[in-house]
Order: sequence, then structure tokens, then C-alpha cells
Amino acid sequence: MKNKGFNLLLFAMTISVLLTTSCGHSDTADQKPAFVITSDEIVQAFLDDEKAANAKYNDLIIQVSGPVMELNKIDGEVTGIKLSSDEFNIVNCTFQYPVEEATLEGGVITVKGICSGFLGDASSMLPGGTVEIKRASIVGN
Amino acid sequence: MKNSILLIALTLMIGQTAFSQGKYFTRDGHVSFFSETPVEDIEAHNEKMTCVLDSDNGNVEFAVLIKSFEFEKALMEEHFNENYMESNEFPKATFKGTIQEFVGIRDSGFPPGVEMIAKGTMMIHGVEKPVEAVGYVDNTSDGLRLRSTFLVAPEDYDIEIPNTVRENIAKEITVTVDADLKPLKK
Repeated sequence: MKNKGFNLLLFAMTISVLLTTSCGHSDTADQKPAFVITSDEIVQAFLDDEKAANAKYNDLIIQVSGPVMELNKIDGEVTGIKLSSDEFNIVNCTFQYPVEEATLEGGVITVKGICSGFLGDASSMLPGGTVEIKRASIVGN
Repeated sequence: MKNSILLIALTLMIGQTAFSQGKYFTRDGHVSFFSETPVEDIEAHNEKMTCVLDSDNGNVEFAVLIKSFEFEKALMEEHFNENYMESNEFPKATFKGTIQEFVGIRDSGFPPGVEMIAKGTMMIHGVEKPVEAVGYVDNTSDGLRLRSTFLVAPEDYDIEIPNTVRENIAKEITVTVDADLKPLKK
């Protein structure tokens, strides 16, 4: 009886390990955002206190709205988007799946994705900073 | 004859002034790493590397967020961040240095295939190390393209690999950097 229980446990563990190691990433489009914020607000939060903003936003689904500054394209497909109302303080999003350029028409876009943190350094030759959002999806425009 | 000489002189002048000095940058550079062992191959990509190059003197900087590396498998990405890179504590990797003899190569118009050596300090996992990396800089229609491939040993940066997965991760990881830089407007 004990052996049967042990074997069952071992089987469940093996299945669990197999499932978790072979799984891809879940779609952010299907998940509720932890925060809804504008691109200017989230960049400012990181500029004000990077450590606190890292603790608050990193690894969570964030829904961000902002003016389109630039589209990133690879082989004609839009793979990312930059939201910003100024040239140097930016929300830089990578889409989970490439999107049609036509869906990005309009001045202000709303996306949601996982916040990876903030890249900016006062001692850098590059002014400003970037909040990075990965596996983003379009919410609307 | 005079006209031909004038035309050649003008062409040469235009060729030399096509490249404007100053800083060049991107926030969308590509960096990937590849670990190859008999047990498994592991790779991850990050399309959000920032890079800035000062073409007046060859000073160059790279920076990436560790959490922006994307793996095919979710669990691999989780282990990479939580167990190995401890990315909550050490969120960034950076390189700051200078491309050797940059000005001479720049003034020659970045001849294709000319190897350049960048010397500087790499910071990974909170550990700083002096490094040298071979790379290439090419002229593009609207800026410069910077490429490099180099090896990084996790052990050099105090990245601990548990015994249970030691055979799964290469002792030296191949890192590839590719960045299209545009002029930085002042």
C-alpha cells in the first residue's frame, strides 16, 4: 500500500516536472493588469525612486497608455513600440506576438505587459531612461 | 580636365562628410546568449539593449536589464532570474569602455571586416571585471552598426550553478551583441 502511494506521488511529480519544464509563457492578453498607468507616470515613478518602483511594478502585468513615439519592425512586422511624450524618457515595449501596423493607428495606444524594470543611469552618455515592458499586447487605441 | 579634378575632389569631400561625428545610440540593440552542452542547449534573447558610442573618441557603453532576457520556456526564465542571476538584487548588466584606435578607423571610413578591440569594464551580477572584446563597426545608411561576439564564464561573476544542473550549463557562455546606432540629437 505504501509502495502504491509512493509510486503515485512519484508519477504526479514526474508529470508536474514535465509540464512545467516544457511550458511556454502564458499570454499577457488574457491576464488582468495589476496597475493601470500612463507612460509619463510610470517613467516618472522610476526616475523619482528606482528602488521603490522596482519593488512596486517589476514582474507584474502593467497596463500603460501613452503617445506612440516609434514602432520597432523586424521584416515588416511590428515587434515593439515606444511610448513617450519626450525623446529621452520612454516606455519601451516588446510584443508577445508581432502585431499588424494598422492596429496601431492613432496618437495614443494602450498596451499591457510584464514590467522588467528601468534602464537609465545618470553617469551614462545616454540621457533619460527607459521602462521596459515585455510580452506586451495591445489593449486599445 | 579641371572639371574632372573638381568633381573627384567634391566626391571625396562628400564621402568624408557623410559621416557626422558625435554620439550614436540605440535602445533596441539585440543581445543573446547561448550555452551549449551535451545535455541541452540554452539560449535567450534581449531586444532592448541600450548602447551609446561617442564617435569623437570611441567611448562606448552597453546596458541591459537581466529581466528583459526572454527564454522559450517560462521555467528556464524563472530559474535564470531567481536562482542564477538574482535579478531582483542585480537588475542590470553593463559594459563601459573604449574602442581602441577608433579615431583612425573612423577616419578611414570604417573599412568592412576591420576588427576593433573594445577594452573596458563589464559588470554582471554586481561583479565588475576588466574585459576585452573583439567587434566590428560598419557604416549604415543612417548611422553605425556595432557587432561583437565574446565569451563570459559565469564563475568569473560569482554566478553559482547548483551541482544538480552543472552539466546543463556551459562553463563559458557565448554572448552576441548587434546594435544599429542612430545619431543622438543634442
